[in-house]
Amino acid sequence: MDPVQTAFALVLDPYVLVVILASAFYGLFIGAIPGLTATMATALLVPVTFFMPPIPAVAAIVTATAMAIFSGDIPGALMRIPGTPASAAYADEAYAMTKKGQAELVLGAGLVFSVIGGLIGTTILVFAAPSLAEVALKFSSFEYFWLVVLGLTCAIFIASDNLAKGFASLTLGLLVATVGMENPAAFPRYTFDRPELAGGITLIPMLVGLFAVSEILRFAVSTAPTLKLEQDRFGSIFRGQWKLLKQYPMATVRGSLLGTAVGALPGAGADIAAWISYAVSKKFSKTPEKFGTGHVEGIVESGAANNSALSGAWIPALVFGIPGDSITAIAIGVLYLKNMNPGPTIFMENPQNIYAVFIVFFIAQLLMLPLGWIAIKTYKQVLEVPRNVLMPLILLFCTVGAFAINNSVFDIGVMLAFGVLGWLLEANRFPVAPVILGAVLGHMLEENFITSMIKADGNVWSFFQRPIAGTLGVLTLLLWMVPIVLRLSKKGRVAHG
Amino acid sequence: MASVFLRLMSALFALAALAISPVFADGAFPQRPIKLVVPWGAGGGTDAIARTLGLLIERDLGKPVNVMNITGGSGVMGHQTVAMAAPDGYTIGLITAEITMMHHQGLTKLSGDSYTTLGLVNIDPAAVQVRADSPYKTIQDLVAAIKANPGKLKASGTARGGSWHLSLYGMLKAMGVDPLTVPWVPSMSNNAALLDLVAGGVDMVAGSHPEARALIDAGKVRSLAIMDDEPSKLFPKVPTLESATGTRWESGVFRGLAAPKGLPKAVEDRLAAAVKTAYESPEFKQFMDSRGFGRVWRDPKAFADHMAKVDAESGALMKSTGLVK
Amino acid sequence: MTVRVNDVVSGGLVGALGVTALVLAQGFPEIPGEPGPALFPRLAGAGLLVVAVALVLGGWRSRNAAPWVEWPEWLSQPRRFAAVVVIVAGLAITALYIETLGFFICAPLLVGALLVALSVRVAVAIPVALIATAVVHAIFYSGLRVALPWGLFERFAW
Repeated sequence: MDPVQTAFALVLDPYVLVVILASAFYGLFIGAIPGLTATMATALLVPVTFFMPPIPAVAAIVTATAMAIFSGDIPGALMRIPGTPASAAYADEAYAMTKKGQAELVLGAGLVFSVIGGLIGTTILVFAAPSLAEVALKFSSFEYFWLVVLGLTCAIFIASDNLAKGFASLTLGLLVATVGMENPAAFPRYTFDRPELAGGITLIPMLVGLFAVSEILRFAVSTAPTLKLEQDRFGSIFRGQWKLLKQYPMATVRGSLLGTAVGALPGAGADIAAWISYAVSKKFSKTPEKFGTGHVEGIVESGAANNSALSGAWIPALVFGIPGDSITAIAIGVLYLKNMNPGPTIFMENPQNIYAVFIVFFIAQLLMLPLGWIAIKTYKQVLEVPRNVLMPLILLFCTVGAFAINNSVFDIGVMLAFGVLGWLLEANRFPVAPVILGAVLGHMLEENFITSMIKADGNVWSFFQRPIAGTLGVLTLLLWMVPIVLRLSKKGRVAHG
Repeated sequence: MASVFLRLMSALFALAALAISPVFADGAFPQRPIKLVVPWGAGGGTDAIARTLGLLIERDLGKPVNVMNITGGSGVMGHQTVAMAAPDGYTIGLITAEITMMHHQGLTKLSGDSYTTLGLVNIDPAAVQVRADSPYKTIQDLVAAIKANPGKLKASGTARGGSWHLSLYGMLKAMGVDPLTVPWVPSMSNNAALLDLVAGGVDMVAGSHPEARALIDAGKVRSLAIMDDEPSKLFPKVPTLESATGTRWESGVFRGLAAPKGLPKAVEDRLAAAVKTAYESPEFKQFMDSRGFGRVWRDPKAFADHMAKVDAESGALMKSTGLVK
Repeated sequence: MTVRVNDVVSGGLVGALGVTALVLAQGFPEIPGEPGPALFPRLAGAGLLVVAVALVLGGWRSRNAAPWVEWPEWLSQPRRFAAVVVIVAGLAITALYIETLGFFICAPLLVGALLVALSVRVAVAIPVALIATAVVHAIFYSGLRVALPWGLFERFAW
């Protein structure tokens, strides 16, 4: 029998379909709960997939992660708490739209453009996997260094109106990243002899604290329930989406392509794709001044980007066994376990298996439309619970989620500390998101800088000597010039005027 | 919903029972679930081995074996959790080669002696990998190039002072080359190092065959020699270091199950028997072979001896290469 | 809202953090031939100092626009003050004692206390706290196999 036909037979098995459906709801649930990430959903799925044959095992992971990345948008839009880090880039924007009474539009855009991004990303995964991975494979630490600097630059540019405060938040995040001994010299820094700090400050408890606990604290002291849903009934979330697609075709395609490319780069996943895409969208927009005030354009682009990044991450994972992000790092383990060893041979030895995985990717994206719709509709039920009842329950989920990452009570303390910090930062108009980005990218920045310096025997010019690194480096430096040039020309005009 | 209700009720009942009768009937081990601590993250090789073993031990003991990933401190936290747990058999752990090195680096006071060993289940020998298009066709080519250009060739494979770092330095030392003429580029994982190798960032990577497998199969990376007494099952054509150069140096990482010190003898024997049964099961064999992990069995005594031997070697190597003071 | 300060004050705090980072980084070793583990902490510390100066200068210019320190009004409102105390102290107690007491004691206490502090009736708060505890335990412990601590109930663990 033809492998493609076999693949369809493998996927359309009732057992596999039930697994896909169950993991879809699971992914929607985990993603919609602040602090529980798509990565965590995958890690927690691994023991369950132990009991399954290869196809349903991989299908469970693919479906759950796709759903989780989308449903992370829901609490972002409705409560300004991104469900997963991948939604953090545009949570403020989405919440601003909800406040303007455009909840349906923003939720629908999140859903529809997640699906479109996912479909485009998957199509690229299927057709261009080997050649795209070749490009990513040419990236050494020099290229990665510039990529990270580019990401950080974007973070400051989109952070806030106050450049100094955005920079302060980012630097704070970078300082947080230096804690622990996970640095190239393996020297324990700022650990105060606490073994819990030796591994550094864990990202998830920090994220839960900054985004969720601070929100609960804010609720506890608010006179009016400020986080009351701006809207508790949704009309059709699909209305107006076709118009958006016609209005922003470039943004959709650009977000999907950029997302796939960033996802395929090892180490950079859906969250970085969303940040970069949001910044790119603002740069290319005809109306950049509307960004941050509840404007849908950036959400269209970065919403498509984070879901396409998910597919993109599978490209190097499947073709070379090299994870594109933390999710596929776990998924690769499952592939090996299920005797579907990643590598070019995966297309030769058991082609039906790999085709079956591709089919699952498409099914998962399409399934997102009806299930995402249900998730949005029932999310309303969740939030119709009185908020003073809901908040303690969210606090319990956060506590358990923070604990579950390392099975460590220390992380509950970390969550508390960053909760209070986030609360103080927010009240004093310091943006919170750059703290997270600094903490995530700090490790990559330092590691790639130090290892490059060792490789080049301390020669700084080596950062420009490789063709791709040189291009990225010059690009970054040019980007840095933009605000300076703008400011100078503005001053010049004022002086002349 | 029914089971949630039942659990709620049984929790309340448990609360009442605690108040009424502090004495609970003593029976054969185990009476309740066992925690299997993994000092490394979910999804990695160590984690996968632990989860497979956990299921098989669970089947033997008849009580749930819950795998807990306690990461952090480059393995210190998880190893410490096992050593510090109550010696009742309800906390066991999959300890890894790092336990023989961390105390030399002053990261912890723990060593292999801090545990009751239950059985070693895996050894993955180190191998030397180069880019497929590199001019070094054999390990001799590589060593000759190192000698001719001291300080020029860069190596990677793990963090500074990690096990692959020591494997490579030990090999160079055994071959009469000053290890410090090969600067070590630290990497967060072997995978990252291999990627950098392919991208032209470093010249050689030390690591195991299962880790390099995908890139070797893809024709991107070539393995020159393996530091073991026999070729690996994955790549039987890659020569052992001794057969290629005449230099004898064996090095690799290991994983084994251990419990806190001071376990009651009956509990220790029961657990060790369960580990042995799990190791010998066809499921474990199939799992390890499919991932390419080296299946090696050492009983509790031999496991302890193996750790002591590796410990002494690592300590001497780290001191002589200046990795520790 | 929580305490709000003039940028001169927040800049001062940022600067103090930068100085602390720099002072602590003095003890980090140098590694021959490598930039060493002190480089990035120093860069981060220096970055914080630069930003601190910018913040202080900006804050000084607008010093008359707002008071130096604006204390939030909830400090004098017992009910909201209690809610903040419950969240902060509740999480601290959970972090410190959940391993000894167990999830089945800490979780209902945390949820129940916050419910009451947020003006939920006690008759509602108690069942909600108990059911939430049971459901979360079922999902995470039984479903996802997260090893939530049993504490005092260790012997009844399932």
